[in-house]
Amino acid sequence: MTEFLQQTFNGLSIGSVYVLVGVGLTLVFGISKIMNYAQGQFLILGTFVGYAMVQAGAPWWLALVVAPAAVGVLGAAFYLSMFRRIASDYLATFILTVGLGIVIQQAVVEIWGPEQRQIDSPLTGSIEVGGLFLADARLLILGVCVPLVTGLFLLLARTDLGRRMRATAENREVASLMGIDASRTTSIAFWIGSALAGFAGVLLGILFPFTAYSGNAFLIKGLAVALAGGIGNVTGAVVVGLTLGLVETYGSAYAIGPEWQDGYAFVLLIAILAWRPTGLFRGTVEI
Amino acid sequence: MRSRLEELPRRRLYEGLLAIFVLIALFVVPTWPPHTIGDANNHLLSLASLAAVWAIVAVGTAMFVQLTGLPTLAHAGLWGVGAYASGVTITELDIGFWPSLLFAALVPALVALPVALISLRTTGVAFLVVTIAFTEFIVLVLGNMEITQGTAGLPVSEPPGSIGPFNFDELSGQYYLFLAFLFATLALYRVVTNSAFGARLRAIRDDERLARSLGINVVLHQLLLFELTAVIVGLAGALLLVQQGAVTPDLFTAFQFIPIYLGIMLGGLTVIAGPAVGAWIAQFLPVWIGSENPNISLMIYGLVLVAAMLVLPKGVLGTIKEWVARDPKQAGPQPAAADLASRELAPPAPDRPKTDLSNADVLLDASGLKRFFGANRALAGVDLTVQEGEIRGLIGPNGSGKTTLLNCISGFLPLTDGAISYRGLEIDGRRPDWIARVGLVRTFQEPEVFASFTVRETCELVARPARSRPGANDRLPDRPDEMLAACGLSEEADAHVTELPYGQLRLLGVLAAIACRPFVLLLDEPAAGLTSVDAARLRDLILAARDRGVTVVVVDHDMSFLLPICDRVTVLDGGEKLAEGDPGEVARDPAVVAAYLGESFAERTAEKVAGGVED
Repeated sequence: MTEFLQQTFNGLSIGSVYVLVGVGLTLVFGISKIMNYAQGQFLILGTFVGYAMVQAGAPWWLALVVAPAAVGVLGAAFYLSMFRRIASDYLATFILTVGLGIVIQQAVVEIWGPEQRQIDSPLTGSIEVGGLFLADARLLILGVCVPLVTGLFLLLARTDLGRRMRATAENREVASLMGIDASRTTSIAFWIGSALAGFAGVLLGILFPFTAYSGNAFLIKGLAVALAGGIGNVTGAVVVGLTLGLVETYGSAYAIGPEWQDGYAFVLLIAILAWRPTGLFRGTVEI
Repeated sequence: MRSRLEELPRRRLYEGLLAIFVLIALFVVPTWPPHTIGDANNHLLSLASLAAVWAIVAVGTAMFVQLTGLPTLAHAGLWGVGAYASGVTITELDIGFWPSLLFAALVPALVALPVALISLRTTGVAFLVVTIAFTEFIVLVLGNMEITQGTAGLPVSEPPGSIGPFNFDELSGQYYLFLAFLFATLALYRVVTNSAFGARLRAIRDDERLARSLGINVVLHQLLLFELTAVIVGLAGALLLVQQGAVTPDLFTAFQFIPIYLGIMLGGLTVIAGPAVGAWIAQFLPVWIGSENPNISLMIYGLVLVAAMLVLPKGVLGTIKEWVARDPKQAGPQPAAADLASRELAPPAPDRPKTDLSNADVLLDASGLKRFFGANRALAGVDLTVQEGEIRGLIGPNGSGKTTLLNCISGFLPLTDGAISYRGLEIDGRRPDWIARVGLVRTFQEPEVFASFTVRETCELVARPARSRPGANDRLPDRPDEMLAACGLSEEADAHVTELPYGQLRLLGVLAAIACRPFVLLLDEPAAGLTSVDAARLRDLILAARDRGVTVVVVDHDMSFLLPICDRVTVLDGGEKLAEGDPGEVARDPAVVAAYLGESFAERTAEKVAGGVED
C-alpha cells in the first residue's frame, strides 16, 4: 500500500508537468486553431534558459520566472509574425511549426552543445510522511503546477481577458464584431501557452537530465493529453495529463518494462479516441 | 517586341519542364560520371535512387491527403512495416526479394486496417495527431521485437538479383527499378483521381454530410483508399531496404517523415506530379545547403520548411499550374452570366387535381418518433404516414421539430424511441447512405454542393451508381444532360458549382437528390430565399418528379409555394403533431392559425404569403 501511494505521488508529480504541456497546447489551439508542434522545443528552450541562469549564479526562482516569460514572448512573436498567416491549414501549420522546432533545437545545440545537462535542484532532500518519501523536487513541481493551473482556471472563468479568450475560441468572427481584438487576445493566449511549456521545461530540468533533443518526446505526450482530453478543453487536459502520469508510473512499476514507457501516451490517446472520437470532454476553450 | 517564348502557350512550357525533368532523371543521373564525396562513390546516383523511393512514398501519401483532405502521418509507420515485412521474410523465411514484396504489401495492409478504422473516426488536427500516435507506437513495437532485431536495425544483404536482361544487383539497375515503381504509382494516382471512386472521394472531402445523404458510404471509400496507399508505401519500404541495405526503426518515426511532407508541399499537393518532383528537391536540398557544420545544415533545413510554407504554400508545381491556368491564350469562353431576364418565366401552376390517394399504398410509416436533446423534447412522439405518390407538406413554427423529423427519418440522427418502416424495410438505426441507396433521399436547409465539381459532374457523380443499382426508381432520368434540361440548368452544365447564383445552387441540390433515383424525396426548405422564377422552376421539378413515381415530403415556410402543390399537410408544434389533412382545411384550422399561420394569414386566404426563413 505504501509502495502504491509512493507511485501515486510520483505519477501525479510527473503528470502535472504533462498537464502544463497539454494545457498550453489545448489553450492555444482552442483559441487560434493552430497546433504548435514546436511546443517540445519551447519546453527544452525553457530548460536551457533556466539552466544557463542557474549556472550563472541566478537563484532558481528567478529562473522559474524569467525562462517561461522569455519562451512566452517567443511564442507570441511567432504567432504574430508567422502562424496567423497559415492558420486553419493543419498540414502547413504542422510543417511550419516543426521547421521552427528544428531551428530552435539547433540553436540550442549551437549555444549550449548537445551534451546531457541537469539543473541543480534547489531542494535535494525528501520529507517522510507516514512511510512515504516525498522528494522535495517533486513537491516543488506540484507546488508550482497546482497554483499555475488554478490561476489559469480563475483567469479563464473570472477575468475579462479570460472571457475574451473564451469568446474568441467559440467564434472568432462574432467576437471581433463584439469589439474584441481577436489578434491581440490570441497573441496573449500564445504567450500563456508557450510560457506553460517554459515552466514545464524548468521543472523537468530539476528532476531529470535532458539534452537539446528531448523536446519531441514531450511534445507527443502533450499532444496526446490535449487531444484525448478533448481539444480546447482545459479540464480535459488536466484529467488526462494526470492520468498519463499515473499510468506511466504504475505501468513501469507493476506491468511491463520501462522500454515501453513512451508507449502509454500513444495507447491512451488511441484508446480514448477509439471510444470517443472527439476526446473525453467537449471542445473549444471550456473550463 | 515579343519573343517566341512568349507566343508559346504556358501549358506547353509547363509540360516541357516536366519532360526535361523526367529525361534528366532517366538518362543523365545514371550516366553522370561518378564523383566522390567523402567515401561514397556514385554519390549522385545513390541520392537520386533514395529520392526515387521517397517520391513513391510522397506520391502514395499525397494521394491519400489530396483525395480525403486528411493529413496522415500513419503512412510513416506503414512504410516501416513494409520495409520490415520484406526484411524479416527475407532473413527468416529465406524467400528472396521478389516474393517478399507480397508481404511488404499485405502486412502493411493488415496493420492499416485497425489504424484506419480508428483514425477515420476523427478529422483535421485530431486525425493528424492520432496517426502520429499510431506511427510512434509502430516504431516502438519494431524497436522492441526480437524478430526485427530491435533498435539496432535489420541488415539485409541479399540483393534482388536479375530478371531477364535487367540486373538489379547494381545501384543503377535498382535505380531504374525504383523509377518504374514511381511511374506506376503516378499512373495509378491519375487513374484513381479520374475514376468514379476518386470522384466520390473528392465529394466526401468537399462535403461529407452531403455525400452521405446522396448514398456514398464515407468510411468504406476512405478505408479503401487508406489500404491502397498503405500498400504503396509498404512496397516503397521494401525498396528502401534494397537501397539502404539495412533499416532501423527510427527511420520511420513521425518526425523522420518531415522530409517526405516537405517534398509533398514543395512540389505541390494539388498536382499529381508535384509530390514526386518535390521529393527530389527535398532529397537534394541538404546537399545544396551543404554547410560544414551539420548543426547549421539542419537549422537551415528547418528554415527552409518555414520559408516554404510562408512563401510557396501551393508548392512549385502548384504555383506553376495556377500560372498556366491564368494563361490568356488558353482561356476558353467565359460561362455566360445567368441572365434571368432573358429566360421565360415558367407558366403559373395549373389548378391541378389532387392526387387520388384512396387506393395508394403506404410508402413511409413512422410511428411514435421521439428524439430528445437532454431535456429538450424535439420530437415527443410523432406519427407520420405517407402514401405512395403524394406530396406531403410539413409545416410548423421554428423549433417545432420539422428538421429533426427529416434528420431522424434519413438516418442522420438516431431516434430516442420509435420505429420507421419504408417499403417494408425497418430503416431506423440504419446509416444515412444506406437509407439513400434504398431510395429515400433528403436535401439540406443550407444550399450544399461539392465545391470542386462542375454542375454536370455533380449529377454524374450521383447518377452513375444509381444507373445500375437494383431497385432504383427507373422512371427517373439517368443521364445528367436530361436532368439538367429538366430544370433549365443546361447552359450551366460545365460551370463550376461555386460560380452558380444562389437560386441555381438550390435547384442543383434538389436535382442531385433526384439523380439518386429515389422513391421518396425529403426536401428541407427548398424554396427558402428563391426568386419567384426559381421557385416556379423548383415547383415544376418537384411536380415532374412526382409524376415519375417520387413521393415527396417537403418542409417550407412559404405557404404560397407549399400549399398549392401539396396533397396533404402535416403541422408540427413543439415536437408534436398539431394537425393533418387537406391543405385548405389545415390552413383554416384555428389551432394551426394560432400556433403558426397567424390571424392575418387566415384572413388573406391561402394565396398570400406568410412565413420566413427558419434559422
